[in-house]
Amino acid sequence: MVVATLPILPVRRLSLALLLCLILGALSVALALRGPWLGLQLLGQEDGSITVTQASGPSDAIPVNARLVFLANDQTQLELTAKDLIEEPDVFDQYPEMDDFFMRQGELASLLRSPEVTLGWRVESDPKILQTTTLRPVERPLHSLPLLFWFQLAVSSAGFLIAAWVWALRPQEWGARLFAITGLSFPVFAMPAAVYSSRELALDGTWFRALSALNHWGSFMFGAALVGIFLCAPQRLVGLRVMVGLFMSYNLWWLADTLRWAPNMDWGNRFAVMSEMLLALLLAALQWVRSRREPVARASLRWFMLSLLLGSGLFILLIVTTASLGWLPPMPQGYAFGFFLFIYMGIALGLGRYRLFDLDVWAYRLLFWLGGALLLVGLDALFIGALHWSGAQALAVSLWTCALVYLPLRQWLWQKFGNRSRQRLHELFPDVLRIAFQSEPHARERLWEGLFQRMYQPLEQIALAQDQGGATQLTEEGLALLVPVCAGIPARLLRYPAQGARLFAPRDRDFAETLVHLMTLAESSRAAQETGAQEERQRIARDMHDDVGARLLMLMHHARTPELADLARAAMQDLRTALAALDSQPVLLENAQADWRAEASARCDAAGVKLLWQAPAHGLHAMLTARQKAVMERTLRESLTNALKHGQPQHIEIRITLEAAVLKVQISHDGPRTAPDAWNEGRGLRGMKHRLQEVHGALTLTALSGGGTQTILQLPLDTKDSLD
Amino acid sequence: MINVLLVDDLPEALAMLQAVIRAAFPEACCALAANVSQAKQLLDSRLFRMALIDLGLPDGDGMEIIQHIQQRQPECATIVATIFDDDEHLFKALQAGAQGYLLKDHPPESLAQQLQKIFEGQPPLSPAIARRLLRHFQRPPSVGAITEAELTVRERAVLGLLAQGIRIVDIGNELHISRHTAGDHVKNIYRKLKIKSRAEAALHAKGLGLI
Repeated sequence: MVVATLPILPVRRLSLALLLCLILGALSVALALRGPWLGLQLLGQEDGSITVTQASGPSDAIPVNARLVFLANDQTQLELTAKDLIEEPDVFDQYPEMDDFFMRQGELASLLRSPEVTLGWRVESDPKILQTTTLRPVERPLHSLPLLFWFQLAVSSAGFLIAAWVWALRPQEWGARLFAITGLSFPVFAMPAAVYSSRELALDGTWFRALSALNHWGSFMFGAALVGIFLCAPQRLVGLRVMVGLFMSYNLWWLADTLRWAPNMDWGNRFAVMSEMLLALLLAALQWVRSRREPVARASLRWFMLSLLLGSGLFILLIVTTASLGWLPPMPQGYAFGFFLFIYMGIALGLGRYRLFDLDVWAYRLLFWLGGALLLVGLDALFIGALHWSGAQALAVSLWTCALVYLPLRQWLWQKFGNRSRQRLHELFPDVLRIAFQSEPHARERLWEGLFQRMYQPLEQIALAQDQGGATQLTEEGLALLVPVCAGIPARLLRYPAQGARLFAPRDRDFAETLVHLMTLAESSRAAQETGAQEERQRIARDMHDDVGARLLMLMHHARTPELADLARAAMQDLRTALAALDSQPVLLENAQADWRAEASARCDAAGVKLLWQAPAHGLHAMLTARQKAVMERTLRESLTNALKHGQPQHIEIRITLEAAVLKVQISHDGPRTAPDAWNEGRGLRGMKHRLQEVHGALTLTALSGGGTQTILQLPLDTKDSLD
Repeated sequence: MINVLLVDDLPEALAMLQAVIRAAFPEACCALAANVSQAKQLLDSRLFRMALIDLGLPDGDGMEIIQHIQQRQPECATIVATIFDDDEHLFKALQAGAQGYLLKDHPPESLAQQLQKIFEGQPPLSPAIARRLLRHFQRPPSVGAITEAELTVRERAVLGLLAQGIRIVDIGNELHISRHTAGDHVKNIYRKLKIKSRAEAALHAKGLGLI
């Protein structure tokens, strides 16, 4: 079971939060059900009258669409107006208006508490006749609470629990603490509002006033905590004193509002909320500027700002601002509270992506656990409360529902968000094999790099010169992923995944680790195959050595003329080149160049010819395939032979250059020769050209103006042959 | 008189090597062996100043003979005479104590010259072997390593140039030293290779609990 693997403390903290949430919810329901009920659903009309949209229970006799005129008991009669149905007292601009409203609500409420009340009403068809119905108010039943009430309870509970979840996991962090305060403030302002906005007609004046004050306090604290968050996350800008000061001043402001010290609602309440929003915005901007050199902080800040500002910004725009402009809110405040849930949903989704508050995917497990517990309790309550089942029956059905709905849902969500990588492993497996069986190390490294590029789309991928130890690891706070040396490919550092849009998470590390492991396995089997091939090649080389080599040596020994001996010697060298190419390992151009130079030097020395070898000291960083090296080596050798034999020069110059991935070897000598056009293309020259063409190279011969000849060998290195 | 041991399974090669020895050292006296056991017998019966050894022999590896010489006649200059410049094998021979190598297909005059140079302490060093040596000495000194087995800065420089295919003469010019000094460096590199290889082998054996 998931719970068992979780750290105990967060679960305990979260359970506490859940309990608190349930208590707050139960309190709200109890308050909403408090007081007598007439069985009416009423709607205020523009002309100031009140119509009945639904009548049941005690007021069964009153028809729908009837206009209520008065409410009376045996002593008092009060005219009813649409004003009595105002959802949210905050729409009043002046405190006296508001206090009048509360007073009148109190009068209505006390009237309703009489054992019998009389309602006076008229119907549209017969507006002149005033009809009366006398009825006995009853206790308000649960089902009479409107959807809006439950909606507010639900969104504020959800927000609170998400905030509590974050806090439960990181109780030491200031950002998380303040976030938790916003979460706690959410039900504090939303639940009282839910209670008074879903009253039938009236609420006890004192209660109403208290609930309204609580609603204000909640919103003040929410805003203060929001400001606090940007004061300390991602960078702590102020000390504890300022933070306490912040909360103190808004508490004072709230006191001024509640005790009516402020001149009006604008000063008492709306400006306070707007000032908090403005402060939060300014601080967010400041944090934004300050985090310009820290992509981690920025990425999380961006997400956080978006969620927070979108959620609370929309609410303030739609409800607070319209109210202060004297307009009617475009939607019931209760539903507008839904915007706040954006914040919490955004944070919840952003946690894994940006590691907000340094949390990770595993944190979701706790959320799933919470969801399960909540579903269980909720269903239980529903069955007991609404369907009047016995406790045991309700529990059994709830458990079954959880099993049928929650567990599969959790599984689905987990697969969708938590474990995407597992599905991709089998897709990547052929790629890994292809890389492992790539014999050319550079191509292997290139493909390995490409694989990681495709998988994580990092902005930066650096091959590391030194091995950083055995394991794949997250570094730089999740900005980078270190992939160790594997299958002879250097370790590499991947930075800024998803084009810098997210951070590396432990599951990325685990997945990369699996890949590395797989690669190592595949490589070792390739190496085994290679060893087999290597042994076979060595056997061939040994045979050639013993057989052909010995015969050539005999040929040299028994050669009747020095020319024949030279021919055998040249054949021997070619054989060596061919055998060296057998192991098919690519060669660094620098090294090939060194071998050629040593051989050319020795031959020129022996022939008494001065050799000028020109090659860049650095800048021959390229790889030659074994075949390319063999072809170039043989061609160069033969060109040198031709120069030494036919040209009889005093100087030979060999110049090696590498430009635009084309290797160019120029052999010039100062020996007298006829113009190249007059030459007959012998078998030697044809063979050289042919061999070079096979590796996409070319040979050109030119007569130098000052006498002598130049042979140019060109070989493109960056062809498909050289890389695959 | 210089006693020279020639080991090769090919009679033509033996004859050619004999001619090369005569050209290089007129006063030399050659003893010929066609396989490992013959060579060992000869080595047990008399002292040699020099031995030219082919690596691939019918009844074993020329390496065995090199090791035998190192144990019995360490004063004897051991030279590998092969037709393959495959650095893998040559390097092993050099580590075992060979002081140079010859490629048998070179013209006899050139072989005689090379042989004289080796005898004078100027062994050849192909770029491939120089690269291998560089790698070998680049390894950080292990615990218990002997400092005289590590290369000096100069030796490292010489080796680096050799690895680029530059001749000893040109290396001398480049480093402003005489070609003989450059040659001495090469000789020292050879010597240190042997010391280092032995030290490492001993260390390895110790690690395995063999000594």
